[in-house]
Amino acid sequence: MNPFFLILQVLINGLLLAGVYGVAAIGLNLIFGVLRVANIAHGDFMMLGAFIVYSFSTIGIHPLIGIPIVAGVLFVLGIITERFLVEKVVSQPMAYSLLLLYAVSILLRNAGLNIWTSNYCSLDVIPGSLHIGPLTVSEIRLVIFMIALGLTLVFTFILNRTTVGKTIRASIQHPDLAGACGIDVRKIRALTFGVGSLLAGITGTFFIMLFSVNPEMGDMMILKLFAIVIVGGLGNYLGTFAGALVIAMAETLTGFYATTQVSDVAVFSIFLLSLILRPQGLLGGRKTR
Amino acid sequence: MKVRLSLLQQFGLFLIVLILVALLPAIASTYLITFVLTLFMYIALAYSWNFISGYTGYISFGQIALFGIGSYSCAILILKWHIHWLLAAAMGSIIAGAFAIPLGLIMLRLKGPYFAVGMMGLFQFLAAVAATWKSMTKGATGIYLPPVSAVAYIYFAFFGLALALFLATWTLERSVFGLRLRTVKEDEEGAESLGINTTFYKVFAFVVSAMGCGFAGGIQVFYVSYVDPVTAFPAVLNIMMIIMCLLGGMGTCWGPVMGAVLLGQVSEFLWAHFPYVYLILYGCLLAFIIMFMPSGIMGYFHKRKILRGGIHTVLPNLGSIK
Amino acid sequence: MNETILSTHHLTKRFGGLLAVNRCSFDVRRKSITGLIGPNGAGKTTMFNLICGNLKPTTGEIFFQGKKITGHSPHRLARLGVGRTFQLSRVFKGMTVWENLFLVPPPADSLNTSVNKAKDLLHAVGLDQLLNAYAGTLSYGQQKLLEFARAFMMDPKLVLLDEIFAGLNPEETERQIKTICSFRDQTQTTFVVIDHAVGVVLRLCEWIVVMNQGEIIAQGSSREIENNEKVIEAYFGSSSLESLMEEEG
Repeated sequence: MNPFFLILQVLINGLLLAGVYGVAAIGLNLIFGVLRVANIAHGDFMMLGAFIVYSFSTIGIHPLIGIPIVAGVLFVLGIITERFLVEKVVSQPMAYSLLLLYAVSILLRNAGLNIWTSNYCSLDVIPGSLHIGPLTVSEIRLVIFMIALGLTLVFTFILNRTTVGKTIRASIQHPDLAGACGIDVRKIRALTFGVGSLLAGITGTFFIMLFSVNPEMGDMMILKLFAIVIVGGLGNYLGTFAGALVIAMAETLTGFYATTQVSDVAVFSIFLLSLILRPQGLLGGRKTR
Repeated sequence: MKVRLSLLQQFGLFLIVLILVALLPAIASTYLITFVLTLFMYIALAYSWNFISGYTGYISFGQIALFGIGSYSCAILILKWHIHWLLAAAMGSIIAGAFAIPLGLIMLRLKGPYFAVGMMGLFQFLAAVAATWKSMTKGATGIYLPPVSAVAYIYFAFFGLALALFLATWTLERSVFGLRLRTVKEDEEGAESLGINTTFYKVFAFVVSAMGCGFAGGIQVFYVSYVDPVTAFPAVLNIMMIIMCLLGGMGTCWGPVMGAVLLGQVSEFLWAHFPYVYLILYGCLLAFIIMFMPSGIMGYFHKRKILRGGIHTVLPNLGSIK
Repeated sequence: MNETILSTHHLTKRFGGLLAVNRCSFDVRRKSITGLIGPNGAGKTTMFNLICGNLKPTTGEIFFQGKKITGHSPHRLARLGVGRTFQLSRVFKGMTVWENLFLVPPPADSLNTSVNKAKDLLHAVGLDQLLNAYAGTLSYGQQKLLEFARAFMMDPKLVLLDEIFAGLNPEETERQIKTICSFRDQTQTTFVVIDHAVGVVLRLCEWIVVMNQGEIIAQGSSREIENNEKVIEAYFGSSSLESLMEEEG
C-alpha cells in the first residue's frame, strides 16, 4: 500500500483512539478540578467497567444493555468511594488522598484478578470493517468513536449550560466560595467523583470491545491518562483533546511498527519528555500541591 | 504511662539486639533464619522508602524500580565479570544511585501525583525494557546464577544493610542537614526563599533511597540465584514497602522497622492462609491506615504521649539562656 | 559603593491575558526604607515574586548591586543577600523557634557566630523565652516576628517585607516600626515594604513607589506622594489622602 495511505490509516486509527482516551481523561480532569485529588484508581475503574460488561455478555446480556448498567454501577461506586473513603482525607495534604486511592487501586486490581484471572479478554461486538478506497476502518472503532464524541458533547453541554454543570464549575474555580454560596460542596464532590468514575467505566467498556485487556490494565492506563493530562494541561479541557491526540497517535504509530511493549515504552517516554519540556502542563493554571 | 530511656539505656538495648542477631544463625533453624533474613530486607526497603517519601513528602509509587536496577546490575556483574557477590551488590547499589541522580533531577521537579505516578510508570517501563533487551538481560528467560553457599552470609548482608539505613535515618533526624531536608515537606517555596537549595536535598534523599533499594536488590538476586523481570521488579514488595512505612509511621526513625516487623509477620500468615486474596487485604490495610491512623503506630504513641514525640535536631544551645 | 542596591528595568509579567506588571522601572537606594503601595490588584506582590525569583519575568531585567539577577532561582538570590517575608507567615510550624533560625544556611559563619547571631535576633524581636516552643504554637504576631528575625540569619543586604503589618494591633505595629528602623540603623540593611496601611508606610518609608494596575504611577518622598493627585485618585477617586490616614489612626 502506498506509504501515504499507510500513514493516513494510522492517523485515522489514532484519531479514533484519541476520542476514547479523551472520555476517560475528561473524567480524571473533572475529579481533579473539583476535589483536588488525583484519582490513581481511574484506570482500575476503567477495568471494572470493561469486565463488568464482559461478564454480562458471557451470560447473554448484550453490551448495548451492558454499557448503561456499567454506567450506573460505576456511578454509584464512585459516589460510595468518595463519600466513605476520599471524603475523609479531602482536607488533608495531597499525600494522603494519593495513598488512599493507591490502596483502592490495589484493591480493585487484585479483586479483578481474583474474579476474572489474568487472562486477556475481549468482546467482539461488531466484526467487520468499512473500506474506503485503500483505507480500512473497523466498524466497531467508528461506532465507539461516535459514542465517545457524543458523550463528550453531551458532557460539555451539561457542564456549560445546565445548573448542575455551573455548580460544578463554580466548585472547581472557588471551592471555598462555592460553599459560602449555599452550594452543598460535599454533594458536588460525591457527584463529581461518581461522574468521573462513570466516564472511566464507559471508556473501559470501549476498550474491551477494541482490544484485548486483562485486570491489570489499570497500570498502563493511568500512566497514559496522566500523560494526556500533562500534555494537555491539568484543568484545561481543550488541552485534554490535544493531549489525547498526542498519546493516541504515539501509541498507534509505534504499535503499528513494533510490539505493544515497545509502544508502552514510547508512551512512558512521552510522559517523561512532556514532564521535562512542558512545565506549564504540570502547573496547568492551578497548583497541584 | 511514659517510657523514657536514657541514652545509655538505649545504647545497651541496641547492643543486646546486635548480639541476638549475631547469634541467631548459629542456633536457629533454617526456616527461622530465612524468615528473619527476609525481615531484614523488608526493614531495609522500608527505610529506603522512608528516606525519600517520609522526609521530603514526595510519595513514590515505584522505588522498586531502583531495586530492579540493583538486581540486574548485580546479576550481570557476577555473571560476566565474576565479581564477588557482595561487591557486585554494592556496585549495583552505586549504579542505582547514579541512575537516580538524573532521574531525581527530572522527576522531583514534579508535584505530588505526577511524581508518584511517574515512578509507578518508571518501574513498569523498566520491567518492559528488561523483558525486551534480551542481549543484556536475557529477557523473560532470566539470568541464572551460581547458588548460595550458606544462607548466613545473606542474613548478615541484609542485616548490615538494614542497620546502615537505620543509622543513616537516625543521623539524619538529629542533624541540621536533616532539618533542612524536612523543610521540603513542610514548605518548599518558603525554604527556597531562605537559601536552601531544595533540589539538592530532594535529590540527595532520592539517591540514598535508590542506593538502599539497589543494594537490597543485589543481595536478593544472589540469594535467589536468579533474576528475571518479575523477580527484579516485584510489585508485591513495592506495595509492602509503602505499607510498612505507613504502618510504623512515615517520617520517623523507628516507624519503618516497626512496620516492617509487623507486616513481615502478617504477610507470612496471610501468604499461608489466603494466598489469593492477600493483596486485596493489603489494599484494605493501607486504606485503613490512611483513614484512621495516618501517622502510623509511632504517631499513635506520640499522641498518647507514651513516647517522646517529634524529631529532635541536635543544635547548639545557648547555655545560659534556657 | 553604588547608591542603588536594586533596580528594575521595564519589568513585565504576563499571566495569559492578564498583564500583572507592566514595564515597571524603579530604583531602590542602599540603606533606605522604601515603600511599595497601591490598591488591591496593583501588582505589588507579583513584583516581589519577580524580584525574589519566585516568578520569572516575561520581559525586563532586574539588577541587584549592579549585577543582573533576572531569572535567578529563589535560593540563589537568598544566598546573594535578598531576603523576604511573606504575606501569610511562612515559619515552619512543625519546628521549634530555635530550629527555624538554625535551618537557614549560614553565609560562611563559624558556629559560634551563628549562635550569637540567633541569640541577638531573638532578643531583638522579644522571643528569647520561646526558643524551644514549636513555631506552630506561637501567636500570629509572634510568628511574623520570628519570620522577620529568621530572614536576618543569612545576613541579607536587602529585605522585602510583604504585608508585615497585616493583622497587627496598634501596639504591635509601633513595635514593628521601631524594630525595622533599628535593624536598618544597626545592620545597614535596605528594606522594601509592601503594605495596605498607607499611613504606616508614609510614616516609615523615605521613598515610596506607587503602583496601580501593573504600572508605576508615582515615585517620590512621603510628602510628595501624600499630595500626589494620581495616587489619591488611584485609591479612591477624589477624597484626600489625609482623611484616609485619619481613619486609620
